[in-house]
Amino acid sequence: MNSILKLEGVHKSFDKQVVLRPMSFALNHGERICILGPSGCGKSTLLQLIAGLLRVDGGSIEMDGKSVDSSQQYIPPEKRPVNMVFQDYALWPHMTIRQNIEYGMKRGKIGSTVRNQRLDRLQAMLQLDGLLDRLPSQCSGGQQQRAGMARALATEPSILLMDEPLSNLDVKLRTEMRSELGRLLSDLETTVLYVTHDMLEAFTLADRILVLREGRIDQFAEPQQLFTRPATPWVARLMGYHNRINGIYTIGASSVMIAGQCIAGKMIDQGVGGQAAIIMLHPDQLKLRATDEEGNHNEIRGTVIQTIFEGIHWRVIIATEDHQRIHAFHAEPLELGSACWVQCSPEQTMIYRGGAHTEDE
Amino acid sequence: MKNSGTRWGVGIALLLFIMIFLPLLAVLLNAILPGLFFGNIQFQGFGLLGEIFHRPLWRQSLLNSVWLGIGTALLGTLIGASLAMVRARWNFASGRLLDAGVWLLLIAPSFMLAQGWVLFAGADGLASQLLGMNWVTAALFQPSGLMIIMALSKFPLAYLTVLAATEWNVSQYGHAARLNGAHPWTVWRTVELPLAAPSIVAGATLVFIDTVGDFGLPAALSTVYRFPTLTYSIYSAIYQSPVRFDMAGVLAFYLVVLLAIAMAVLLLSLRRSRFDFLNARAVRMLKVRPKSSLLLNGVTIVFLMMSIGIPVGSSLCVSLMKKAGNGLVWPNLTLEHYFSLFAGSSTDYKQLSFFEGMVHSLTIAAIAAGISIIIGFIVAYVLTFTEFKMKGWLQLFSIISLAVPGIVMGIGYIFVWNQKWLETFNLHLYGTPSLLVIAVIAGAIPYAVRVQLGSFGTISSSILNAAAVQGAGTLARMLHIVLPLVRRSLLLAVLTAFGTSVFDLALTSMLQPANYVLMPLVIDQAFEFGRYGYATAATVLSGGMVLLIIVLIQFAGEAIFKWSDRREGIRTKIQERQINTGQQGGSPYEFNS
Repeated sequence: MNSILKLEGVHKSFDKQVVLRPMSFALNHGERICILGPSGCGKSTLLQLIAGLLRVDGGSIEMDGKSVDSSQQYIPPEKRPVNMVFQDYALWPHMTIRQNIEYGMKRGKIGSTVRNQRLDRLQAMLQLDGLLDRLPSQCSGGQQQRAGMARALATEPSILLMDEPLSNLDVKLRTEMRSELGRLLSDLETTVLYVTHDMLEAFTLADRILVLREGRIDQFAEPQQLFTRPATPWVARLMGYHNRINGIYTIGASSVMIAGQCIAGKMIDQGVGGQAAIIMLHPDQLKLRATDEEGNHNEIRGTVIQTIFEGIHWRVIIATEDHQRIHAFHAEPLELGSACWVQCSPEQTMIYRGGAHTEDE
Repeated sequence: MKNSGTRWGVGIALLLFIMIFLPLLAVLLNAILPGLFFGNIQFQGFGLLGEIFHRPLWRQSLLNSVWLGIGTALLGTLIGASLAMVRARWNFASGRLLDAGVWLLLIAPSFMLAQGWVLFAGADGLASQLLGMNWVTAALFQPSGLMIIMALSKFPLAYLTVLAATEWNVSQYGHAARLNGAHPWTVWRTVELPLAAPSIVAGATLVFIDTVGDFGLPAALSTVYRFPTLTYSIYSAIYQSPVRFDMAGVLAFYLVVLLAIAMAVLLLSLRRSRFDFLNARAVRMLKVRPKSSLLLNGVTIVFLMMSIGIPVGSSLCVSLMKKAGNGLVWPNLTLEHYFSLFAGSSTDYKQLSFFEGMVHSLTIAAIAAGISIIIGFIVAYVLTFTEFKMKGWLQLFSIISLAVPGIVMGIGYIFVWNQKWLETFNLHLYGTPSLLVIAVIAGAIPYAVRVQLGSFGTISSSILNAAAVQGAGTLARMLHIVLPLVRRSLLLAVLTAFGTSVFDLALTSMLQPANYVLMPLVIDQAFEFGRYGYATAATVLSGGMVLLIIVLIQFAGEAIFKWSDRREGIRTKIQERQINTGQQGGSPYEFNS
């Protein structure tokens, strides 16, 4: 399949601050990609490089097989087949919603008949009835977000860039817009590159997720793979595996020894016996047992040190025999100080080499 | 708290009404009821207002003011807005010089700048003598030339207004436009310019208001070029025999109407500027180093040489020349004009006493600064921290004298305080220094209020509520809580009020008590009678003295604040030590011993 967008060794710094380390990836036609990462990881910079609002320091960007930014060539934003939905929408405050949407089509010298057809289609698709003749300041956050989306789609770009378009909305509206946006994007044939720091948003909208951390790609995979096989402890934590337990690889390196107990799981990193290991556990996927039963394996023994009522369940905090802590959810409270067994499913236990991820410490 | 705030609000609003709004009201009323303030009230319809279209001088004054105002507004805004956009976008060495120059032009009395221009471009001025540019006289002493002179003096208002609007980074709008296919020029034309338009219109309106209300330029020009404007004709009407109060009243009425129209345009543009394009994430624009910084620096310095160098330099040169017509050569250089300032010349009506004028003007300015600051403090307090219902009126009263020219305020003061019945109550103040002081206070109040409002806005009302629940009344809260927190801006407000009061030519010309010498009149009269050396030496020396006083007070104030902070620090340490050692009472000096 031909790539619509291809980055090769692209990197960017501001003064001496490295924002993006050399990175390469490609997007296929019609794909929806989410760039996921915390604030300051370089997500927006990456988007601006692709849009042409910033220039690459090195490497190259190709769109539809043509170089748009490299040491030899630079195509300005207005000549690239891209458009963008901004974080704060950036609707021009002195123009009505209609003028905002028509602006790009007029620049592209699109005739009024086609313009009106697209406007009607976008109006219906994005529920802009009655809003077209309003100024942006007369619209709510959600309406502005839809108008910003309509403006970006009106020019029918090959690549649609979206820079955290839901981050300015309140929680309720964001939830509504997330599913609405998911439906809308699945109807489009446009390639979408969507920046977010919200995992749920990324899971809802993306075909593939590119996890960015400190200017480099940690993992680029489909959502399910990202969840079931996170490439690093950092990605695992991002996916909700909040329990990080240190241990050592057993002889043969088929499991990890934690407080005298052998725990088997997915070997994301292969290790050797006696080497330091990390296991990442998702609190939602752990089972707790208050009594010892023979024949059960893959359990860590500990003592209940705290229970917190969280509405639909209790959060139970357990100290292992080597004084590490595990958080798990349970339907009932457990007695403080009592012994407790944490059952880890091998399928949902991620094992990493300890020394390989020192930056996570 | 609310009732107390209302009492303070009503009191201060009443005071401002009498000091600021009543004189303006008197001007408007007198245009319809000409005898109202002279004991023979008679309504003659609105016929008198129509006279302006029949009397050549009245009509010409109105037309001259309108055209001068419009021309200056257009040219001044073109200059100010262009410079502001350059300054907001690029970082260049002479940028700070430009900022300083702008503030210098803003605080410099217009009559002093105009006198500098007259000395430069007059028939035997420095331009023709030193530079051989004989064409300058004809080029500048005509309506379009005057617009250029005015624009070079008044552009700072447009500069500051546009700079304030353009220094925020709204690049996302430009980015959005470029991603929609717009070239950089199209982005500027369709997005950046429309967003800046309200601030440009606001700047132009401010330049127009300042130009139309300006008295200094026509007063200075009257020595070489007859160009009647509304302000100068009002002044002439009062100082001719017989006094033409009807003419002054009608012309003042039209001046107020012009300014009201301009204010309406200003308010409209401000309302349109509320596009809400700055949000909580707004950041200031990051200035970049231009590719051709040499060109930008060159243009800026040449421009500053023109707008400041010519008027200030001309005054300085002439003050050092024995004879203004003999050129800037060594044998023609002297300090005798500066010595003559202290020679005492009370017998020469053309050359008023510099020393006397300086003492009177500084005294009046000091009193006005002090009182206006107290009033401004109370106004700012009421506006910021109380629920006074007439805040809108209070805002209006406190800002009105900023827009209404001194000449109109002056004639309003004459109308109100020159009424015979006031003699019964010993309140016939016209012709006394007291009225001048009151008028100067009224003129200084807008500055005192604006400067203090800024710092009051940073104080959380919760700390005043905390004082209130501790039993502190309004006065105690003002003195013990607010005053210590805003003392630095208070000092700045005092200095601003003082600086703007010393050289108010319009008010002093209109309300000058008989045989009472004031600094602006010393300069203006010497200039009017061709004593250019004396006038310019007085300008340079008085300007320098005022600047020195301001710097010294600022320095002294800062030193006192630091000393006070240190003292408080020592006192706190003593208290902490006493608490730690269980001591009670005792002299604070025990710590040192």
